[in-house]
Amino acid sequence: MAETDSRTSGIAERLIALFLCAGLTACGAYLVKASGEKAETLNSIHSLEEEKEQLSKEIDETLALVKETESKITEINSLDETIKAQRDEYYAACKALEDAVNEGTTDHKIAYLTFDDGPYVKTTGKYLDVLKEKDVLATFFQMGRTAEGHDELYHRVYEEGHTIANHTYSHTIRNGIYRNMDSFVNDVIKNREFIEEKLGYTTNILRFPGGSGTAVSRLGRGVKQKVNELGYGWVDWNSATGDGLELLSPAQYRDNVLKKTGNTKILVVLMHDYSANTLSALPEIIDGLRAQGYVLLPLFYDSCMINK
Amino acid sequence: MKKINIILAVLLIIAVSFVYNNVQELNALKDTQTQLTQETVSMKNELDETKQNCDAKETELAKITEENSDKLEELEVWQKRTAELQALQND
Repeated sequence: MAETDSRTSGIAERLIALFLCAGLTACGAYLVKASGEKAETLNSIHSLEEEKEQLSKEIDETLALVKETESKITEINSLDETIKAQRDEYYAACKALEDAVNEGTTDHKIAYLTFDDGPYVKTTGKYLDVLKEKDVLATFFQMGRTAEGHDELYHRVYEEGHTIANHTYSHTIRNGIYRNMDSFVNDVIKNREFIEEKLGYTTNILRFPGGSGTAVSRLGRGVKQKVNELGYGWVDWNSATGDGLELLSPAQYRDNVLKKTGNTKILVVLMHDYSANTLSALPEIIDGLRAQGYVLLPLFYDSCMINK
Repeated sequence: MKKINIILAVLLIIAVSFVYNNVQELNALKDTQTQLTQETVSMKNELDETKQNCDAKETELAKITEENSDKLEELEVWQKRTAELQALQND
């Protein structure tokens, strides 16, 4: 009996040992398998992290590109303001040069070419062609009366960079704008509104039809103050072709400018863009002034030649 | 035999605890892997959207650049004039 018990106990112990060994083997097998799976998962995680980092970099780069593109779009959408600012910077450079001329710190001189009474359909475009060819910016004292119905030409003057200034709407010197102060002021305002409507631009430079002498003789000294109160600076001239009545030849017009410059450091040259003879003389006038050391500029409000 | 069984039992307990820890660790890694996979998919979608947005903006830019070519040219001309005048002053 005792021997039977002992044998049974031995079998049970062996079975337990077998079971334990089986358990250990299963654990070992699992650990081996899990080790492979763990390595695989770690590799996958590593790859995913790298991919994520790469994606993050690409997103950042693309977002930067979007931002840069948006910035360029904004710049283009505000081109009108940018061009205006650039024009102002150009006028600031003109002013700096003018100051240098006045102070004698440069050998250059300045000539402001000015054309009155336009635009004229037959001639103004040809004047613009010459100025463009010679790379010159000038000043056009325009009146609304002759510009009516000629928007394209009117726009062209401004778009090509020239200064457009007020010369009253009708320019009726006799029995018109100088009849009384109100007539004059109304004509100035009418032309200002005309320019604003056509070009979306407000000029603050004015030339009296016939010059300030004519205006003062008709309306008294108060007329100068009046235009200043209207926000304008006004300008006359100290050089002229003398083409008001178109009585002289192109050569005479040329000489009237080039032979009378004297030692004048800053010239304001009066011409009329209806004059065919001045048009013929214009290339030589430009070349001649440049040969005498003049830099040709458009007028601007801060110029010392503008009376404020 | 009993002593051997006791040793085997202790070894089995240690092995089971190893297995348990390993399962826990593996599960945590799988969770991380799943999370990273989801994040990657989400980022790919974000990148696609951003690229589409970028393409749209570039198309818009090309269009308005063409539409405003005159103004861009005008701006360049003014910049050139300004630079020339400034250079003249520095002569």
